[in-house]
Amino acid sequence: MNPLAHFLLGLLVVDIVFGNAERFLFYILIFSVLIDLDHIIYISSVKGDLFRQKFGSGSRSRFHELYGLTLLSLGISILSVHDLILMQVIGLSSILHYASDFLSGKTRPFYPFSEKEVFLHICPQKYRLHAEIVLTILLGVMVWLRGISWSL
Amino acid sequence: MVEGNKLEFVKKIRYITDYFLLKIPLPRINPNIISGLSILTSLIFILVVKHSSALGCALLVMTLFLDWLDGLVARRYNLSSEEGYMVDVTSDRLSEGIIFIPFFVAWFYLFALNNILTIYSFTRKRHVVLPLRHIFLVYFIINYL
Repeated sequence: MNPLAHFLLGLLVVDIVFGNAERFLFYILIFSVLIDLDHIIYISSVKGDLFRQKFGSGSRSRFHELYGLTLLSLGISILSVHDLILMQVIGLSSILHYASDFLSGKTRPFYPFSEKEVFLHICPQKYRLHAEIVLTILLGVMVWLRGISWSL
Repeated sequence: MVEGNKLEFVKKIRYITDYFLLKIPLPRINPNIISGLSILTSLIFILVVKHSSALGCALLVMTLFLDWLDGLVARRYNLSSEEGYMVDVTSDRLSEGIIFIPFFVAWFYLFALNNILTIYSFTRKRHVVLPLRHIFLVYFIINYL
């Protein structure tokens, strides 16, 4: 999914679950898209061939899969001693990123232990772009309707 | 395949239940879609649990039902595969992660442990994970209903 949709999803869910998402806006913004940083390494490796290669499961590093989720859950568990609410917000923003990517596209859950690719077929690949655009607009409208302020 | 290496007592229970349940007419839905739906019900659970514990409990039961149903449909139509196992356990971990965030201590710590056990299970070809959501359902019924 695109970074904007990840951010809007994190913002909306954190606001519903914990309330007052504006207070955590910066953390939601960072941690709902941080996992996507590995795409930058991928972009630099494929260079001009990006449109043919697209963002398949090969563009995702080990930190984008169950391996990364394990490290994240351990880190959050340890740091929750310091600030529980903040860690809950960071955890939720990040886990929603993993979940939405897993539901919407091809992933390699056990990479680097296995290269096997899985796909849930919830939305056919050929309609993925359309579904993503509709979902992003829908999430934006829902955030707007909840009256969440955008200023950092 | 890791699925085939579950603990002996789990296999025995499954053998008995499958004898009866596999005779039930089930729709031929892709089990991966059913696994994915369990993540969505987990998400709805955390969105509504603050407002209605009863609805939250129903969604938790629904999540566990979907988790059970995907395996049953896969066995009924011989769709069991390594890919299916990967989708199933990944859905389980993501579902746990989402469910335990609002309840955090000590559930999220156990979720972190379960993530390690999942990777261990996959690499050692032996399925050893904690049934955290089942235990959590009992905890939830006792404390919130």
